[in-house]
Amino acid sequence: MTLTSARETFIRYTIDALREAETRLPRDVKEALARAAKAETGERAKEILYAILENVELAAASGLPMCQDTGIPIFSLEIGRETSIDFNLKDALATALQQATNLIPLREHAVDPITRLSSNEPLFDAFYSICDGDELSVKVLIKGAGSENVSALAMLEPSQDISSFVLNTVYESGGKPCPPIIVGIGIGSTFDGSARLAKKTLFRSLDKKENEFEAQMLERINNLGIGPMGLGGCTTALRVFVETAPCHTAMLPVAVAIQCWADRKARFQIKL
Amino acid sequence: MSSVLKTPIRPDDVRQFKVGDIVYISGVIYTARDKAHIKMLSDPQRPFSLHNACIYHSGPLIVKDRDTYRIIAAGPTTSARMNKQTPVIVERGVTAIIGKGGMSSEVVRSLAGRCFYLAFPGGCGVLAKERIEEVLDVYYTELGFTEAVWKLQVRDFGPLLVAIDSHGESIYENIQVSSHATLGK
Repeated sequence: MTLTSARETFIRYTIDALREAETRLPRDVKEALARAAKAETGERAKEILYAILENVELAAASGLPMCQDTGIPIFSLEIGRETSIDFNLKDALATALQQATNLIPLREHAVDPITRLSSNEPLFDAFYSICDGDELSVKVLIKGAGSENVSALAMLEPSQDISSFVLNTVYESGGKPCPPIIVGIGIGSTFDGSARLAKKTLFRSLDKKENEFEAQMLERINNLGIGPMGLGGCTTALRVFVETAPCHTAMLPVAVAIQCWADRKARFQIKL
Repeated sequence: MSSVLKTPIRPDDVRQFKVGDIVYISGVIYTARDKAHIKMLSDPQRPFSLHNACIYHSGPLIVKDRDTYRIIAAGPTTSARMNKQTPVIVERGVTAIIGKGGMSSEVVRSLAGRCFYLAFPGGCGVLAKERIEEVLDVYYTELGFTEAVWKLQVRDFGPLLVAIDSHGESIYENIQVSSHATLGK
């Protein structure tokens, strides 16, 4: 494979993954929404969830983005240590995103944070890590602004209660993040490390078996009764994911990354 | 109660509804989000009237094909970001606001007697698009397509839930009270 073609292949795969994520809600999320629609007893909550499922079907059938907020693509790249990559990955991601913006299409909503004027720089985030093997594994998560805006981070004192901070964050967010939400909690590490832990949990499949703390937090969140779109019901969250890392004895960083029901994800693996 | 309302919607029409009712709107609606709110309040030459107008909190995904605009997805955006400007636009005559996620208690008070807030399911960009017949006009394109004001012709736009009525009641506030009670448990 020549240099150019490896980059081109990577760009093509990335555009395909973006298209899949924007237009087709993953099976695990659809199933969770369908289960929630059945479980809700209130007519209003049921109708909202069925409207969401109808929207998901329409988007897939027409090949259009399910939400006008086509979000911020968050990439997670695991680079096999036997892989040799002869092109600039970040630059290739930017090119793929630029092309996808015209092809899918995606909304152009990037602005300069100070002047608030439109920015031509592509808006995305990427985590890079090295793993075993000879493949490049790429995951993409589409993050809307409504849910990103209510995500929160606290440098708690070690004696403070983690659950209270999480519950309060969800309570304060109400209907703003388009519930039912997925809640990623990062506990420990550092200020920025906890946010990364929280964000990375959102790449997980909803099929993954939950641990006791996650199940307990999900129950307590759903007991808040915020419900679909903040209009009441027993489904405020579909899942809670927790990741921990050691932290300094004087610290307790906790980050809560909230994702909307449109938990848009896709992935691919390539040998370059 | 469920009914189709034709624009312009008058305060008299609005007062007939209470929280929990379902409404569909046919006629003309204007999208407006963060920048459009600031712009339309500071613009002495505002090219459209807010009198009995319906404002839709949305930043649609629209592409321009030669001379026509094609809507790809047009669901609602988070209304709370417009809390500050909303009492002023209601003062200037807006009678219906479509959005998602609810608005502040100050907004709830400002709607009393003359305006209601209608919830459309968030994230449902394609569902919303299906009920938009035509792009009639666009204003403030210098703000970008996402932040511009789009004048849209809609037919049976909905279902819209009356989530804040003109009698001072808000479903969001009711939910918030009960959620708060379970917070410590």
